Amino acid sequence: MITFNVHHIAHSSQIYGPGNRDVIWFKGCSIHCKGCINPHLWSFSVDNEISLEDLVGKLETNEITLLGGEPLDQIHILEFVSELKRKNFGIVLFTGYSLKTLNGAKLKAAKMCDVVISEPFDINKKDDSLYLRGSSNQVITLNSARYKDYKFLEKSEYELIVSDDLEFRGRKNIDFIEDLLK
Amino acid sequence: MSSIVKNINLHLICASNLLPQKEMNNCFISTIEELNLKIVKNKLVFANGQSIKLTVGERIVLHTDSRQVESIQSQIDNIRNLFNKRATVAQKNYLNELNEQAVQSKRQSYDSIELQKLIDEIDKKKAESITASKIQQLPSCEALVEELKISAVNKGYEVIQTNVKDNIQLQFVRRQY
Repeated sequence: MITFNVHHIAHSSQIYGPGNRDVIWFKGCSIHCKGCINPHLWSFSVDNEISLEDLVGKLETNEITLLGGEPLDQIHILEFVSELKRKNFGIVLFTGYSLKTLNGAKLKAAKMCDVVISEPFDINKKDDSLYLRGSSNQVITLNSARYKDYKFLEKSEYELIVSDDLEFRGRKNIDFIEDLLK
Repeated sequence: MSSIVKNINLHLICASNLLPQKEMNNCFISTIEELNLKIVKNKLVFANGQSIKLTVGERIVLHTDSRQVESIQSQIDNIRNLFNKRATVAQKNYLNELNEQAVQSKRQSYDSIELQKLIDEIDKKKAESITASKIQQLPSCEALVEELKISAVNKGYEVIQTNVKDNIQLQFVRRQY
């Protein structure tokens, strides 16, 4: 069975690409960038294994962003992306790999995504003002015309979901919210 | 990559600008003394030994983790309710004081520009305190949202609020021009 190691799925997110998106954080990363904001997602130990069918079934829109961990380190990422494209999903992929060094299934999967944010995070080039990128060496590549009218303007964005408790999303940790409340 | 932090539990005890800082602190200290709580190194310690993070700045916020929240929620409600009672009285005194300051300013022989400046400043403090009082009366979660919006705007963020299902979603955006 094709399965995925999933840390979290968020719905109705506005900050990980054009429009209203579902977001999946996969677990497991072989790159280990220095200064990574999600080192707790490096481990490949499985906490929440979800089948391809179930994962697709959990999505609420046909716009999706893939985060991690390292999405391309999921063994069956090509099957997942292929299935999403078959259903005409718009896909934004965040990867710490350089597109120049990718090959095989990883490269195929990356090329099928409409937007790819690539290259390893470089702590010496960290820049919070960039849109969708954590450091200035990272690159946004548009592989299709799906978002051709969307302006990828530089901005920093964070998101807080308030329900019974709070869920914070963005390229900062919870200190951002705690600082706001000082 | 981008972070996700789940199960954050924050509880607003006092909204910003409700009271001058000293009065806010006094109200809080007398509240926790009445409830037999202690503050040890930025933590609020309950009688059963449990402790939670406390932030006292422009406002007062308690931080719990999801394991604590169930056992402590009623005590946090007690703190908020008692603080609200004390703050209501303190705020009345504060507004009276501001009104008195306005009267005194008018009696002083300031020139008209200087007097207007003083009156404007007093009116601003009154308006901020009255707004804070409305926030203070909201349920803790809604009050927290209002405080986050105010603070984020003051720090240069655009705040977009949407309601998704039963949840409130706040988006903080700082654009580069």
